[in-house]
Amino acid sequence: MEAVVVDAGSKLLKAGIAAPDQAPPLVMPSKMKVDVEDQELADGAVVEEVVQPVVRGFVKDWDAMEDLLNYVLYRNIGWEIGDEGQILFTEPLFTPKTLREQLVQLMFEKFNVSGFYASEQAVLSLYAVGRISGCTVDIGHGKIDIAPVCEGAVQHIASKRLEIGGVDLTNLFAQELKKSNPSVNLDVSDVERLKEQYACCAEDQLAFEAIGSSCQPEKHTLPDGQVITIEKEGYIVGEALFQPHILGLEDYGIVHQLVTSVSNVSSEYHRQLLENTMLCGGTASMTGFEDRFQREANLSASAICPSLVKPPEYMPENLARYSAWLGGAILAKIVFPQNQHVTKGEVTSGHLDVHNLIKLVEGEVMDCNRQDSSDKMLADAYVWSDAGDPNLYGEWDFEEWKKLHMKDFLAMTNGFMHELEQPESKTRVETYESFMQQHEQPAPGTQVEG
Amino acid sequence: MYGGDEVSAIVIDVGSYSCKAGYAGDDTPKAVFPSVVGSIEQTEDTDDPKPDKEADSASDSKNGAKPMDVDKAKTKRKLYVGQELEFRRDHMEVISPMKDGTVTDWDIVDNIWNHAFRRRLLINPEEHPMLIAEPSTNTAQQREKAAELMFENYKVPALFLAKNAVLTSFASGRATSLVVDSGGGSTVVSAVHDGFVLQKSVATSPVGGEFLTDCMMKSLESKGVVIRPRYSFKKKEISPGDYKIVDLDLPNTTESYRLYRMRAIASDIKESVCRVPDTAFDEVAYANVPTTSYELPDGQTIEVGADRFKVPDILFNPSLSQTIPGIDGFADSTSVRGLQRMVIDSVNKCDIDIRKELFSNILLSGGSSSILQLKERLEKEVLEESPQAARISAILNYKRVVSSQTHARCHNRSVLCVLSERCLLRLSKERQWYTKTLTPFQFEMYTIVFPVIHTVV
Repeated sequence: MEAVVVDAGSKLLKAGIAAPDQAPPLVMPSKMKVDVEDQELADGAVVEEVVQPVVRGFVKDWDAMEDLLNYVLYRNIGWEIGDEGQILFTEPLFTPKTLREQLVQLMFEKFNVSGFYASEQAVLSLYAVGRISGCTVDIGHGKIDIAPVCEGAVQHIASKRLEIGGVDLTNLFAQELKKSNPSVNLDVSDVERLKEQYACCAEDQLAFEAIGSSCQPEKHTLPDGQVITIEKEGYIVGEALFQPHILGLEDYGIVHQLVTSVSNVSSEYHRQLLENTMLCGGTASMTGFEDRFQREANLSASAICPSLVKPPEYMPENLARYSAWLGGAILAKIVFPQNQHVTKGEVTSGHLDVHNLIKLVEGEVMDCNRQDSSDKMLADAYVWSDAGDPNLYGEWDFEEWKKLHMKDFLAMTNGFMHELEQPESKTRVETYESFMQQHEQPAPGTQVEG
Repeated sequence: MYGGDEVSAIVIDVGSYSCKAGYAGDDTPKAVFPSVVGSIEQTEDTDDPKPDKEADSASDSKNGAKPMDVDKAKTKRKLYVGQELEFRRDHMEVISPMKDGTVTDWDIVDNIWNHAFRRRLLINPEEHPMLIAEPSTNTAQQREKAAELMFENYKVPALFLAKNAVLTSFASGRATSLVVDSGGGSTVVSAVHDGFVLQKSVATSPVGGEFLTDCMMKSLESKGVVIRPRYSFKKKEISPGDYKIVDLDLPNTTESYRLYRMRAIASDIKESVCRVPDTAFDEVAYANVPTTSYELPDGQTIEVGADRFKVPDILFNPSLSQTIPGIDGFADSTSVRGLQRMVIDSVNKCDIDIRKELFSNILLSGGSSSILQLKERLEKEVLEESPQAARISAILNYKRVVSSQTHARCHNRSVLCVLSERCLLRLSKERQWYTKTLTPFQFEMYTIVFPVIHTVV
C-alpha cells in the first residue's frame, strides 16, 4: 500500500496518498465546528464552537486532531481499521520533542499505523523543487519559518521562527476595512476570502507610499448583500511583511530576517543558501509578493543577494502552497521502501527512539529522484567457501568432523593466536590466510577471535 | 516510552559571549544566541528617578548583583534578548550579565533563561530536569544563586550544576585531561582528574575571542577601513542593476550598540581569514605576506594581510596587542600569560604523577579554539617548553557540522545528562525552600562524585 502524507497546517490540512508531481488530493480547512447536540438554549440561537487543532503550526488540541485524522484517514483516504498503512507527517521548525512523541503515540496507539515518519517542512519544501540545500521562507497561516538547509539538514541554530502569519494579516485587513467601511459588518471568514482576493504587494517602498493617492477604489459585494469599498487596504496587507511596524512589531522586514539568518551559518555556505531561496506557504502566493521580495533582496544589506529558485516545470502550478506536502510525497517514496521509518515494534521495545532515528536519516544526503527509481541497491557479498567444506546446510555431523579435524583445527587456532600476539603481527586476515596455506586445511569460514 | 532511552533533560550553558541551550542527548544545541542583552532604561515618574548607571560600553554591567528584595524605586529597564537584540532601537544599550567570567546581574540571566526555555526551545521548565554548566571558577555563592533562581522562578524538578571543564572532558571520553577553553570572554585552562577539576591548576586570561575581535577591528580601523554595521546603510537603485550605498542617519543609536554590530562583522572577518602563524609573529617578517580579500556587507572589499596572523598570535603573546593602536593595556599586564605559558604552569601545579597524562590529553574547546593551526602551534610551543619529553597531543573538541564551534560544550553537557541519569545522580529540591535557607540537596551517587553545592546557610 502507498504511504500517506499529511501536512497539518494552521489553516489547511493537506493529505493524500503520496504521489509526487500532483497537488495533494485532499486540501481541507483544519478548523472544525463542534457538533452541539441536545443543548437547550434560551433564545434558540445556535452556538457554534470552533475548534482549531493546529495553532501557529503546532498541534495544541489532541482530541480534535484525532477526530480530524479519523476523518481524513478512514473516511477520505479509505484506510480500514486493522489494515492501516504508513504515514508521513510534516512538522514546523522548533517542534518540541514532547509534541513529536505525542504524535507518535497517537499514531501507533490510536491509529495503529504500520510505519511512521516525520520530517521538517523546510527540508520537504526544498525537495519539492529538487534541491537539498537552500533557504526556505515558509509564510504560513500561523507562523513564518526561515530555515537555512545544508545538504538536507536544517541549521537549527541559524533558523528563525516568527510568530506572525496569514492570520495576523487577516486581522490587519479587517482592522483597515473597519476604518474605511465603518458600517459594514464583516465575518472573519469573509475577511479571509477578501484578503486572498485583494491583498497584493506594491513594487517597492516608494511605490507603496505613493499608493495612497493613486489607488483606484473597488467595490465588492459580499454574499449577504453588503457592499464594501476596497482601496489601499490590500497594499497595506502586502506591505506588512516587509515593514512589520505596520503590524505593531518592532522588527525588520522578511528579507532582512532572511539575510541575518543566513549570516549565522558558516560563510562557506552563504552563496549556496542565498542563491537557492525558496518561498512557500499560502501567504507567499500573494500577488506581487515574489517580485517585491526579489527587489528587496537586491537592496538588502548583504554582499550576496538572495535570489529565488524556479520550480521545475513538471511540478503543479501552485507549488508554493503545497510544497511541504509535495516534498513529503517525494520523501515517502524513498523512506518507506528503504525501511528507514519507525514501526511500532521498534519504538515500544525501546530499540529505537523516534528523535534519533529521524535525525540520523535527515542528516544524510538524499538522492531525490522524481520518478520511481528502480535502482536496486548493490551489495557486495563475500562468501567464504571451499570445495572441500562440508555442506553447512546439509547433513553435517559435528561429531564426525571433530574426530577428523579437531586436533588440526586446535593446533591451527593456537598457532594463529600466538602469531597475532607477536610484535610484528600482520593483520588478522593475512595471518589467517598464511595459516590456511600452511596447513591446507578446509577450515570453516568463521573468524577466530584472538 | 516513546522518547526511548533518552532523558528529556535540558542543558543550558550561559557563556560570556553566547548562550547555548538544548536537549540532553542531542549532538548540537537547539538554541544558540548572544548572552548580551539590549536594555532601554524606562524612567519612573513616581519614584526618585535615580539614573541607574550609564552603560557606555558593552563590557560594563550593572553595579554588583541586584539584591533580591529589590528597591522598586530604581529605574526599570526593558530587556531585549536574542533575536530582539538584532533590531536597532533608539537608546538601546548592550549590556552583559557577566564580568570577568562570573555572573554579576542575575536579572539578565533570568531573562536569558526565560528566552531560551519559552521562546527558543518551547518547553515548560517544570517538566524537565536541568543541567547548568558553570565556569570552573564559580563560587558557592554563585551556585546558590543559580539554584535559587532555577527552583523558585522556573520550578524545575531537578537540577545539576557541572563545571565546564569536566563536561568538555567527558564529551571526549576522558576522565583526566587538561581542558583549554578559549571562549568569547576569556581563556581558561583547567586540569581535570578523574572527573574533578583541580582548582589550584585553574588559570584564566582575559584574552578571548571578543578581545581578538576588538584587536582585529581596531587594526582594520587604523588602516583606514570603515566597517559599516548592517543597520546603518541601505542600498538605493540608481539605475537597473546599479546600486549605491546610502548611509542612514540614526542619531539615537547608542555607542554600545554600534560597537556590538561592528564587532559582529569584525568577528566574521576574523573567523574567515585568520590563521595562527607557525612561529611567533614578527612585524618585519610578515610585512609582505600575501593578502586575502573579504567582502563586507556593504559591498566593499578589503584586503587583510599581516593581521591575519597577528591577531591569533595574541593568544600566545598577549603583549602583541599593545602594538595595535586603540587597544588598552591590561589592568595587571604582568599576570597575563600566553596560552602556552598557561598550559605549562597549569600542568606544573598538579601532582607530578598525572603530568604526563595531562600533557598527552590536552583538549581544546571553545569558539576561539577552532582558529586554523591553533592545535599545531600549541603542540609545538608546549613541546619546546615542557620539562619532560612527554608526548603532547592536543585534541580538537568540536564537530564541524554546524558553523560555530562552541557547541561542543552543549554536546558535552548532554553526555553528562545521560550519564547522570544512568548513575542516578539527581538533585531533588527540598520542600522547605521558603525559609530561604539552603537545605542540603539529596543525591544518590553511584560511580562518580561531582563537586556540587554542599553548603548550609
